[in-house]
Amino acid sequence: MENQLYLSSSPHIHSGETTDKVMRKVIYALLPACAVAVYFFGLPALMVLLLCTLGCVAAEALSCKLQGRSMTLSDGSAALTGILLGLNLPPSSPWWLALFGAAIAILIGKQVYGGLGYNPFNPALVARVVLLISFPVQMTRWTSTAPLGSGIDAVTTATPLGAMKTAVMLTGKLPELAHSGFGNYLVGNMAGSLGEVSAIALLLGGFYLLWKRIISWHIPVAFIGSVLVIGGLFWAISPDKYPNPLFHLLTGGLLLGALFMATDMVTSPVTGKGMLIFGFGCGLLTVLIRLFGGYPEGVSFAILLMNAATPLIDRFCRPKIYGQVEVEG
Amino acid sequence: MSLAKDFSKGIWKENAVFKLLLGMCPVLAVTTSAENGLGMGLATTFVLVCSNIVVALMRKVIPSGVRIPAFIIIIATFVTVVQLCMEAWVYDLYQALGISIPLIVVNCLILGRAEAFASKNPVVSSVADGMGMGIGFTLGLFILGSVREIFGSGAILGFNLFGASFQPIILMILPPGAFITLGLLLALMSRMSRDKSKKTASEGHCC
Amino acid sequence: MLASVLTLGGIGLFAAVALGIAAKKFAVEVDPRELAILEVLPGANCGACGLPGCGGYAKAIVDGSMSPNLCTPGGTECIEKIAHIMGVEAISTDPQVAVVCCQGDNNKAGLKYRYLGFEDCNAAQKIADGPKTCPGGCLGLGSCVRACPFDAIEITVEGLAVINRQKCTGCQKCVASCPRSVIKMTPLTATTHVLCNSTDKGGVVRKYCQVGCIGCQICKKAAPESYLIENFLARVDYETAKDAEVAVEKCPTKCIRDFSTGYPEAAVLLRRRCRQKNRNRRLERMGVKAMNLKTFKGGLHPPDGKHYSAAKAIEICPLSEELVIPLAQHIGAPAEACVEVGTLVKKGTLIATARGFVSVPIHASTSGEVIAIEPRLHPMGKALPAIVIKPDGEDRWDENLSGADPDELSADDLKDRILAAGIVGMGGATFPAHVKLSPPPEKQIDTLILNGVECEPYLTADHRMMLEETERILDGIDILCKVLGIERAIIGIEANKPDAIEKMSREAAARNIEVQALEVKYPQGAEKQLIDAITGRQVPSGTLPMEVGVVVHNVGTAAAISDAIRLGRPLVERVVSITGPGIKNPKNLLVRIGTSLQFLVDYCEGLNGEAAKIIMGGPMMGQTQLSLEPPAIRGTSGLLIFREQDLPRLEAGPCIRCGRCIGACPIHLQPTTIAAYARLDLFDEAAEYHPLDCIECGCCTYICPATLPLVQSIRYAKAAIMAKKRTL
Repeated sequence: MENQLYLSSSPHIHSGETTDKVMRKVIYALLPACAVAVYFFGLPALMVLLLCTLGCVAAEALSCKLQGRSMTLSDGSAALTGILLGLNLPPSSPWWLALFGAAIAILIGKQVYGGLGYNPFNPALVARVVLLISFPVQMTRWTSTAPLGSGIDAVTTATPLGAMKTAVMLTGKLPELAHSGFGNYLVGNMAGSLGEVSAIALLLGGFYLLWKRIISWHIPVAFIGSVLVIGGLFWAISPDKYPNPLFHLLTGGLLLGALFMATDMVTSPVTGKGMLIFGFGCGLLTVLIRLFGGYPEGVSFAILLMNAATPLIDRFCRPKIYGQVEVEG
Repeated sequence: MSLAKDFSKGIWKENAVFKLLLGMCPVLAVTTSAENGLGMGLATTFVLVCSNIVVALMRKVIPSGVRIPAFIIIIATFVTVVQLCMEAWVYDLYQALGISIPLIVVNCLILGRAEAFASKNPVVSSVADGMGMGIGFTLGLFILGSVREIFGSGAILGFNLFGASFQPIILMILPPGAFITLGLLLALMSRMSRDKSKKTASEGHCC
Repeated sequence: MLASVLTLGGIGLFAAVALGIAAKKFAVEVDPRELAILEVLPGANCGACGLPGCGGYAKAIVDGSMSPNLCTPGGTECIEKIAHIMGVEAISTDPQVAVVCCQGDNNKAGLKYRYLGFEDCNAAQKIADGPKTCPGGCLGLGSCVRACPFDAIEITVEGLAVINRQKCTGCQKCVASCPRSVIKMTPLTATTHVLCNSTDKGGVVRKYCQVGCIGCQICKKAAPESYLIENFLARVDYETAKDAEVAVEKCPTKCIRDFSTGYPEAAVLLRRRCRQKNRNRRLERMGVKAMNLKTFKGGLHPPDGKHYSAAKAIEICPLSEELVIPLAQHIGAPAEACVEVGTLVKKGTLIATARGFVSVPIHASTSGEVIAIEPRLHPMGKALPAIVIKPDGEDRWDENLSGADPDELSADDLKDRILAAGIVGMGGATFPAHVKLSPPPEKQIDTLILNGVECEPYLTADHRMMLEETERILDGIDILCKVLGIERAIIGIEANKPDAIEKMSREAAARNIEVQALEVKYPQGAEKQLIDAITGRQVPSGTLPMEVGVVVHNVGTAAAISDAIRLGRPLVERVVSITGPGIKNPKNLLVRIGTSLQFLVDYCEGLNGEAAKIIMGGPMMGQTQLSLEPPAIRGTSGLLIFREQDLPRLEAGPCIRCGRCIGACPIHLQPTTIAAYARLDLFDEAAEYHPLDCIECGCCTYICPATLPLVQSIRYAKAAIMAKKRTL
């Protein structure tokens, strides 16, 4: 066996960018949002994030062992799913909720389909929705911000979107908080899941991903753009009943969803045109659910529904092949 | 095949719920609790055995071209009987199961056994087959129902297992939970069969 | 009660009458034998006969299209019953099951090279006839495992396929999937088999395999009725075998095995619990271990690599001890030798004639004696016919060669001379130039494009040609314009060669030839992309550039054409870049066709460490070589040596649907989708994504984060689709 040559099909060089490097960069992009979440919600937030991450990693290790496959932990996708799941949970989530969610995300959301690359739905969102249905009480217990070191205790309160829905249902008009407090929303000083706060941190992460060419601009622009446009349309029709588009942008999970969840490569279309359609669909569904649906927040469901449509979108959005023209005569 | 074999194959080797995957509609819809599953299973077993008997008795008489309508009429008759009995004697269960009881008519397990077995075999074998399949079906429903009830309500057959602090996983008693649980149970059963067959393969020679 | 009796009775009556009428009206004639056979068949719908259901099989038996003995689960009893129903003699045959006739796993049999690529025996076989030295041995990459619908085949830790005879139903799908025909059908009851498939002589077999059949005939002597020896390979004659197992002890290489005493060793299979874990171990044993390449940022701009040799002026490479000139150096039919062993030739003497229109003649690269005409290792990875010339050192041109003034020749004369000179595309494609210059009259050519792009990293041959042989190139362009009867010629040069752009522009200005600088991007030099960039026209799928009125030639070809016409010299030498981190002193050499790669490496002061990959051509589209033995041929633009540390880390993971390959593909295909179907052998589905349009540039594989072997998979699909087209 000594000194034998390698023979292979061309090409013989590679860019060096591998799957685990891609995953790692996305994790880096999420760190600012995690930091802000821990700042605003304290140690419980840290615990949720850690438990979700460790839970996902453990679930994937267990699954690989049971399925008789080689360990796939090194590609970093389990840790990434863990962080994303953690960012989708309320800060007061109990430890068992985080672990159960992590197990669902990896085992039911990904491994059952064959592992990385084969899942049709975003695993973190699958887990979030399963948790929402299974434990509605814990999943809708939101607390106000209690920044680290401020000595304030967390108080149960409603998220801005939740407050809006209740107010509209009860009084038919928007509450006061839908018209003001945008500064707070921008910075993140509001109730919500860990990743919903701090638009700035999320945007920072998003720009990093765009710069490093991990994601392309199509989905975030289409998603956020359509929410702003459609939300704006409704606001123009009746500013009393429908909040202004900035409210849509800064509260709730829109930024987290558009920049990190909808852009998950495995579950979104592969071509630019397809991505635009996908983003638009997500935006439309988000606004409709927020304004007319039963739940206050629609981003998770919108993304999951569009994930289901991805194969169809891919089928109809194939790139135009070079040279596919009718030959004369 | 011997009578014992006819009976036992329905319990494990050709279990309707985990191997043949027949009659999935009641399996998923009705197993929100162990008691419901058990009740449905027993009702189905009764219909299965009775219809098998009648089909086996009449197998030489029913012309092949009209056998499907004939079987359905026979099965429908017995389902009606069961429905009336349940309404009379176990009203709570009757209400819990609701529309699933008349739907036993279209449970493909019953029509399937009538077609595949009872129409080709004598009465005693058909009874054994019916009982075996029915008991296997009931077993499957019971297992699925128990799992869903334990995790979804924290109880089994109505007895609280975990106490007040237990947070039940509401998903389990909803339809998605039924599918997921069934899937996981099927995986478990498949794994158990595979391990068993691997063991026998390696003990013998591979040639 | 009356109501229910009447209702049910009435419905029943109505239904019965309706069904009765329908049964009569829509009755289908069914052969009663079909129903009888259906009764007899086990009804498991297992697919062993090859049809999905017992019903289909019953029909096929009655039709006569299938024989009754294919139902393995039914057994002999069932076959006899069917024969009875059909009224024929029971062809009572012993069911047949498959056996892999090879024991040469990674511990016992040698490898020619370390294979990198997608794990499929058919794909590996295409690269230099497979990594195993033994031409008939099992490659252990699992094509048969994938083909078997009954899970009866497994690959052991050491890389050998073994078939579980209990599970095998004799459907023969594995036999069809094996590129080496190593799987053979044997009667179920036979327990002794010869596990070897090599027809090489004993001495040769011993070199590459510890357990191969050497054709010693000892088995035949021990059990004369049981064994047949053919082509140095023994096999059991199952029909007449008697006491075949006595030979098992006697066989010197232990290639005959008696399965009743246990084969394969059960422990081997049990240990193989995890398919993928053992795959990595197995690949490691095959020697596949690579280290990281330095990371590279950004889209499709592979590292230039030109700094190794871009500044080195062309040197003349001396003559080696012998020149091996293959007959197959171009697209089209190989040339036919027209000299014999012992013929004395001069430089430029015709030694092989063209065969057919798409073919070119071959000439001696120097003066000397033809010492052999025999198969020699060709850059394609196998031994092909070649003419071997021993130089006499004088290096004299053939006196019969004469140049002419192109202005005095007609276009047809020029074409004839180009053909006679054996000119082919020097960019690497080796398409006969005279064919390119003979478009059918209905194709109006208006533009000639010269390819001075050289987009492949590391290669600098064309760059130096443009700097040092400018006059010859421009003269060649003029000649080409005359042949095609056009006025417009454009030279395309990438912006990373500013000195060449400047020099060519200066000299070309006087002759009305344009120079177009192009963005540095791979694969700018691909014909279709070049035409699109310079003229904006897209060559329709499946057609040639003449369809859009363009002809493309490499600048080196233009220079060769100038020599062919003005000096009468055929194509016997060319510039080759010997470069890469594995060469001590990279150079651009003017090399005689037929010089071995080893000689070129030696002239460049040898290797800079251990060579791990030898590439003829560039790193994106070049072909890996088995050794430095093959010669440089007309299409050899470069020789690249990579060491172990220069190779990228390749551990194919699952496709993460990132879409980069789709974005990078210059033809805008969907490489990952085609490759996914190809890996599953679903060629009809793959064909819908137009894999035949793929130019195999390698952009997709280069950029794939999962390091999937995309180009190899697409090539595999293309080969299967073309093979299917040919059989239709």
